[in-house]
Amino acid sequence: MQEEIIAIDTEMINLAQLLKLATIVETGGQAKFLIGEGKVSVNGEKENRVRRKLYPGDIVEIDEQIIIKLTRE
Amino acid sequence: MFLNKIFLKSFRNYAAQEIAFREGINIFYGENAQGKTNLLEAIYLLSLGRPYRVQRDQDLVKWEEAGFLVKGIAEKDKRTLIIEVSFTLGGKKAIKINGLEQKKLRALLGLLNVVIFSPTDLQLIQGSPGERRRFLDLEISQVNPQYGHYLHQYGRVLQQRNNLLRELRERKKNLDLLVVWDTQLIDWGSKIIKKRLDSMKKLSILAKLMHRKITSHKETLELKYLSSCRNLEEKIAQGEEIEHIFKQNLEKIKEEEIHRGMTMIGPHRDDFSSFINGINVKTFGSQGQQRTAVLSLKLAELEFMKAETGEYPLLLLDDVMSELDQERREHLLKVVRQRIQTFITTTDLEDFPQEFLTEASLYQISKGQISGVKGCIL
Repeated sequence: MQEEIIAIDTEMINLAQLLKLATIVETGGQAKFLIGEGKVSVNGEKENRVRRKLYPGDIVEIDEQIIIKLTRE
Repeated sequence: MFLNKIFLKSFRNYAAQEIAFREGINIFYGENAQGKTNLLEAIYLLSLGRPYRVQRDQDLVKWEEAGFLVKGIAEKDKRTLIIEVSFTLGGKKAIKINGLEQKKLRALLGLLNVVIFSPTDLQLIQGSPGERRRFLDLEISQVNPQYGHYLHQYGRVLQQRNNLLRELRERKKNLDLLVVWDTQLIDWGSKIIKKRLDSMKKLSILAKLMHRKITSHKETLELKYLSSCRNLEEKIAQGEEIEHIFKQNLEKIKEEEIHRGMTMIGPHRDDFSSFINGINVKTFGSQGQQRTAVLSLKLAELEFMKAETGEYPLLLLDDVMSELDQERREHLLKVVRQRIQTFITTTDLEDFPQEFLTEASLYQISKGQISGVKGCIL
């Protein structure tokens, strides 16, 4: 497992934006595909909403191999 | 999707043979030149209607025989599916689906999907753009049979247009005629480009994740579609239509096309490149990196088909274990064990871990004869 910590300077960020920020995907379309395929989970639960709101403290897991922890800048 | 059984008659080195398969892993093993790969060839033929390794249909016919028949019985969407492909020397190839004669080879597309992985796949990185286009086209037409139709139409228009360009060069025809073919070329071509870009995006993200896994997060693999239309993706991002971009590019190059007598832009001239950590794998990647990239690409293809059709295709592994190192073998086998029906040829069972072999059905192949060894239903 690879862990990454990503800091945001806003109150919240949506899932697709986070995937782009973490350079997991390049476009929103790719994010939508990845999430639609059930490869992304938030705080241990599978997430299928592309615009799921995320707040500092949330943990996102991608394809059982990359973990992103969200913090506030 | 599950392939139950195949029946071969006068096919390669098989006189008449029926083989039943199991869900999960089927391993064909034996010495060289006994007929292991011919079984994969038969499965591939049922899937796509054309041979995989040999060039011509007649090369599939057993020595001194007049034709062959390959029949497969599969289960798809809880229904029985019977596919027959037969060929007579000097005649045509005939295809039957559930007993019904089919006029077009394309009728087979999407019924029994396969992904094949063999040592020659290194050509996907090292080979010519044509190899990569074939890879993309085969993969897309399996999940989207309509795409096969686009390709067919495009090929037809392309040939006509090229003929006209040559005649224009010799001033035999009027330039006005070109517009007719241009419209069609743009029409079909744009459909192909659109589908390819879309598939490429999905494939690229899947390959990237797969590659990260295989390299334990050390490398990032990226795939990029290279269009013969200039700045295609930038212009699409700016909201321009593919048709419009294609048309503009064609107009710019018209003089040269007539001079050369061929169509110089369009999906038949496109390509894609792979990059590891931003570096082009074809030119700067090591042999090992190229192999890993191919593995990632192939496994991504598997996932792509699953994503598009909802079920995994059949996986054919032609003697690939010997090509991979321990770590990559493990990754491959891990994926295989996710309930994908897999057909593997090998000369050496020792390439597989013991627990893998206990799950698998083993078939010993010797001089076109098959003897079941373990877990087989013969």
